Amino acid sequence: MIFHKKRHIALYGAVLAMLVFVCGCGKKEKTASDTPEYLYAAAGCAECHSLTSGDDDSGKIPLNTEALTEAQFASALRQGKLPDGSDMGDIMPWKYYARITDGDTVKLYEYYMKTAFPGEKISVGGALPAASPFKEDTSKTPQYNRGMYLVEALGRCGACHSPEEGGKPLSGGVYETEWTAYNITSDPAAGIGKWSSEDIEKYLKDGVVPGKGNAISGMGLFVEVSSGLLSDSDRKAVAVYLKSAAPYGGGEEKARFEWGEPYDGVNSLRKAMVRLDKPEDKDGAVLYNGYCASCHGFTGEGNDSAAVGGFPSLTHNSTVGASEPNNLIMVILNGTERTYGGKTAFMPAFSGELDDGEIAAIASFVTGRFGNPAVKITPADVKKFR
Amino acid sequence: MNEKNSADVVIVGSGVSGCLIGSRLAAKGADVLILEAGPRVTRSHIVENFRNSPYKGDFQSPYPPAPYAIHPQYSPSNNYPVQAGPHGYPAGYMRMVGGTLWHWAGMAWRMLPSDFIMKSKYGVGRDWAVTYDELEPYYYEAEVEMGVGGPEEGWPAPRSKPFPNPAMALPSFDKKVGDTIKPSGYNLITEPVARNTRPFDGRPACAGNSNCMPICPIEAQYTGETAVRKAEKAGAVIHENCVVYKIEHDNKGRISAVLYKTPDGSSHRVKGKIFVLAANAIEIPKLLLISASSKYPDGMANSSGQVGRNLMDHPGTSVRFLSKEPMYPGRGPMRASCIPDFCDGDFRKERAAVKINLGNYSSARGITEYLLSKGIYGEKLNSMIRDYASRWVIFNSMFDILPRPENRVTVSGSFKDVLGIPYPEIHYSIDDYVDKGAAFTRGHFGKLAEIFGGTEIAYTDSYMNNNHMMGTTIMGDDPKDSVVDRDLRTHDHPNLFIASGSVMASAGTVNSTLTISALCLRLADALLKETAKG
Repeated sequence: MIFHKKRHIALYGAVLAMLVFVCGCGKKEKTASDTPEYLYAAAGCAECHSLTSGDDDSGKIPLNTEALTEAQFASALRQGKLPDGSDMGDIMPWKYYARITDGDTVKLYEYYMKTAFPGEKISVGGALPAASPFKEDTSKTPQYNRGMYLVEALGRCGACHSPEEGGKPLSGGVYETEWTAYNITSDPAAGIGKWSSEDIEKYLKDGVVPGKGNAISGMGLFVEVSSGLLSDSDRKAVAVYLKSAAPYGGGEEKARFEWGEPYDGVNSLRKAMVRLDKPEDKDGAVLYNGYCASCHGFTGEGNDSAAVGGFPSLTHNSTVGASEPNNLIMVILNGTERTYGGKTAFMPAFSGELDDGEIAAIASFVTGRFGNPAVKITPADVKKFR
Repeated sequence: MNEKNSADVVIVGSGVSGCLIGSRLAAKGADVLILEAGPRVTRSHIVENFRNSPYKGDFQSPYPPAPYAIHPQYSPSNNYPVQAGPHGYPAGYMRMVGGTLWHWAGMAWRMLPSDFIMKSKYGVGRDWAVTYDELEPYYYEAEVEMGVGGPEEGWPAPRSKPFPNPAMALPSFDKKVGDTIKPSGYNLITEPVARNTRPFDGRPACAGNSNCMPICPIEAQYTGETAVRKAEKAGAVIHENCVVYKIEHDNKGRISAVLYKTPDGSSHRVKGKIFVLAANAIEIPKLLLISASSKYPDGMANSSGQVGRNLMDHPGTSVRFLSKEPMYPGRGPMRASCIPDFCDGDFRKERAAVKINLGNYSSARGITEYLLSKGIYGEKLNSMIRDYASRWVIFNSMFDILPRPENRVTVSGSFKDVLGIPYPEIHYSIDDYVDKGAAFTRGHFGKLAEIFGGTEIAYTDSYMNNNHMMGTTIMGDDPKDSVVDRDLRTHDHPNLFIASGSVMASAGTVNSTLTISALCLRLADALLKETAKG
């Protein structure tokens, strides 16, 4: 994985503290979304970038190597171009950032300079490269339009959640080639049409919605450095926009989170002890019990699953119920570690401990009982993700 | 069979000792081969064995030994090691990749400075050849390695740096007990543990499965598998199923090779420049003794006659009673706190120091058996189990036994394993020094029971083993009465080192793993210098 963990807390603690302070006192919330710090969080810059030295092991791209002028900064943001003329490519979501207003772009530049080059003279002036047209829908509420701005510009949700050029917006994409970024249109089966607005807000806030899903990998990181730091009203605006965005889908029988029943067969697994030097079990249910049940429960219903940092239920869990098992396989292989509101959600990586056959057996047991039983995982499927 | 048959450093035993040394040396580019008698094992099978075992209280039970590398079994007993008496020494250890650290409780204690100078300070036992101060930086290194969390106060072993992780949150049972005994003058402190109090080093935080022993099911504890993974990642090579049965020497007394058998009975030789024995305080003396040659008729490293002698453990007694008020034991880690008040003092001239531990055990099974034995059945049984389980309090103890030459490991003349290797035989007795400590402790057990308005008080006075095997290749400055020197080098063989609780010259009152780990890290440092010299 490109993006490594852990260090964001220290790096962005200051941002967080500031936001907590500002957002914490209701009246000031209106102005909060105007601050450069807030915009930096809303744009999720910290997902990839470090504004300070970058000499830690986070794998982040340091931004303090060369002080850009305002125009150069805007060019990077809106055209994906570095000062030397080279392209950053689509990894930089410039097509979305190009929709950010001039005013917000200037504020982002101020924050960048203030944090990465404290004390240095800010070089402003000159024309910014043009922003992409971003038309508000005047027939809709300001809340809807704010949501659209957050989703389609600052928060650039489509950078992961939309398919390649020409596909239906937000109908599903990829993150770092291996992870599925799910369909988040309002389609009730393929998308998140059955999530309530409150569900979406809670998911964006702390990455956990019991009975729906848990943010891991890229989404977990996004909650950690971006959506979790937004104001309640902005998260509400995002939910309102997503709920009313055009549904795209098809081919799904149920929503991802609707699958799964608790496992009640644990007693049938009880048997004689095995010789440790000649174990022969590759049965998914037995392996699940040996490796997973101590946290996720014998029944698969998790432990303290509603809490941030609790152990998620595997039933009614989007990662498990998805018809593409990519994310399930990836999280078993690589684990996850995300911190929301001071609590860490952690799962260890099993790539070293389990072979492809064992992971396939576990994942197939998990989809068979707790997810969509039609989804079967072969050792070859697992191998692809190593 | 195995491709590698020589190495710069050959380590016998893949438990935490061997792996820590292997890991440190390999990380600096040394060529390290670790030979392990037993098989490679996987956590899930142990976890499922524990769940399938009818003998939940027997921590050896989920670890059935490989037939070619047997280790102690008690349900039923396999007579390994042979008990020659008069007291039993039912050791609990494993021969498998990762060793016995698979089933510890994560107690990561530093011994007290006094424990290192028992002879000069209290006139009993022995002094160590190293001091607490010399070991202190390595204690800290071991704490970092294992992610130990502990309390900053309450234990008089000086620290140069704070614990790397926060202390574990005490279970409500331990808190209640602490609050209850405080007015009577007892302290209760949180145990330092190598069990994650937050996600650390790729391992999760404790999830409260409450079966640290016999197996942490999620590796929240630093366990054998952690040590193995890190050693292999650093580049150490581990060969399993290699039962070392002989140490060979040249005519100058340097070790030239070790011989091992594979499960098919065939013999193989591994050459090396430096040899480290890290196979615990029972198997190491056994190996040294059975390696006797015409030049060394009493066994290797044994010119002092001390190999196998000075066997120690922490013998323990206990009290159990029904508290008047519900205390709700059994949630969270099995051991979380202890009374440190009697671990050191002038009284050690006369009687054994003792650490009194609070057991945060789920005792539903024991309670059920107890009630059934009293003829209680039916609905009454159900309600009484619930009631008793909330009020069942257990304190146990660990005594500082002295190193005495007559407590020893020898080689059995009668029993051999399937490869033809003799069993170890244990000669063990508990002396007056411990008995006096136990009598003192029983008085406190009674007082504690009284504080809780305890009824149905039951004392266990027969000494339990705590599986902290120590002393059998004891360290000292004098080659005439010790086996290894201050650098853990055997006095008799300049390239043979011992990394084990077997080098410890006193037992103290605390679990030995962290001390052993610190000794191993210190040895690794010395060996790095040794290998750099070429």
